Amino acid sequence: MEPQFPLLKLPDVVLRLVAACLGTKEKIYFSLCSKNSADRIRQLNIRVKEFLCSIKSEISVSLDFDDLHTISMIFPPADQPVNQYPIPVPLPVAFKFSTDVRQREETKETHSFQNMPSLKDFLGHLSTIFHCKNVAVLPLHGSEQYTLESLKESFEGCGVTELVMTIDYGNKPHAINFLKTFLPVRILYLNNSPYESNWQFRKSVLKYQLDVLQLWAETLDAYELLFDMDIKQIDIISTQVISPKLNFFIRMWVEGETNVNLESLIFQFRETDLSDDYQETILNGIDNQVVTEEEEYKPICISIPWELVDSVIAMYDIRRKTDGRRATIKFDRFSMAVRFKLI
Amino acid sequence: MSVEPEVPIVQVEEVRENPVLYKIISSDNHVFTISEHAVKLSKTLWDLITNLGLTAENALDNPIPVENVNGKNMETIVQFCERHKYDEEEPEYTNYIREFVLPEWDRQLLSIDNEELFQLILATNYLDIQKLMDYCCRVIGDMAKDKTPEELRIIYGIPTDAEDDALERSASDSPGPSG
Repeated sequence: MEPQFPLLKLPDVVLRLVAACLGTKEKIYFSLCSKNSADRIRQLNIRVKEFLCSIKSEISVSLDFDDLHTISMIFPPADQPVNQYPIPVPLPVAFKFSTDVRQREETKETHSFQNMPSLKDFLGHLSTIFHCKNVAVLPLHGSEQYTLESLKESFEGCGVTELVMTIDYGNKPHAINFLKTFLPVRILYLNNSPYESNWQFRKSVLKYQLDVLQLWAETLDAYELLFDMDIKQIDIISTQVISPKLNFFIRMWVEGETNVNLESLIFQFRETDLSDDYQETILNGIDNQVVTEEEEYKPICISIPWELVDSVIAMYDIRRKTDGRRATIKFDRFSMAVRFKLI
Repeated sequence: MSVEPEVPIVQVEEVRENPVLYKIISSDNHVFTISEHAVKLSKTLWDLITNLGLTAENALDNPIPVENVNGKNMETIVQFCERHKYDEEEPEYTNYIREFVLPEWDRQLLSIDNEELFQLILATNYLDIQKLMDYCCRVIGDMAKDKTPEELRIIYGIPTDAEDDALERSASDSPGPSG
């Protein structure tokens, strides 16, 4: 081994520059050396845009940095016992790294560490040094093999704020148990609702305070559920059949009798299902004013209906009677869908 | 100001083309000449030159003593500044990511042992030469490539938490100046 470089004897200002010169992987490794070195990395104030933990047969942690730089760490189960079910976590004494800097390169490495922290410690460590306040968990196929209690324990240190359930799990009890284990969260994506009735959904999900709900509401009556959603951003992802219930909902909102904290709402319809007078059906009896200038709006979470728009069809301003809050009803089109947005 | 050099003046080749020259005396009394464009890379030296009112006419008669930098480091520094005196301004890096590849000439210049590199960094910090500091930090950062935390601990001499705690305890246990 080459002679030591007395790094920590450098003036603070220089040490900060050296730490900034380390690659992301090296920054993480450096931070694992001691509390002092972890603090040096924390003081760089590196911000992570997204901290996503995917759970499948292995657990991967992806960090998206502000400058589009990403790094994924994969924690394969260590010495995976054959025929043992479920596999307990915390698991890894080894992990793989993959880095992808502006799509330039991808490298994969495997390291074995002595004294490797547990997954729980590791996640807590990452969220501390990178100042992560929002951690998302994405259970995928293979997540069934872990006990939910052990997953909960591993993730509680880093403060999970988002639960992303975007696949059809097939195994509904598993999906429901996963929700039970991780709720409440701030942001919930539920693309294939495991619940078959509104009362189940109310009892299991809506009893919690959410900021964002992106819901695939195929088996649920989304119009009826709306009234029970005291949520800032509601995106109903599955296409719906247009109903006078939406008009009723808007009237109630205008009267200030429901969803007072709502900031945005999305419904999607198949364009071929819509009659010529669908806008009148929705706006019937509601005071409104046609507007042409679009105001910039940034939802809490950007989903596809927010991101992709082919054309704007029409916009109407409405006003809540109780406090004068103005909202815009916007109809836009993307591909074969017409979207209703209340902003 | 007049300091008689005890050793021959070190002439760096690139210096000769520039008509405005300054003399710098290192802590071990080596004398260096450096061009105006090159010396401007050091904020400390340029501030000193400005404050002393040195001009093209009187610069060579008034050598600038730099007591914190020895001749060996000063030679490297003068070579570096002369090499980079006409460089365009560097792009601004974010405060936490500094991505760039060290040019081969500079990598050769900075291929020195760790103790020398440490002393060069202290000198660079004192003379406030941002570009050289960036390059030195890049060299130190590159030492970490493909190393495990255990290896980094050895390369950078990072004490464990237990060692840090022990050091802190012994510092707080040791008697103060009054006894």
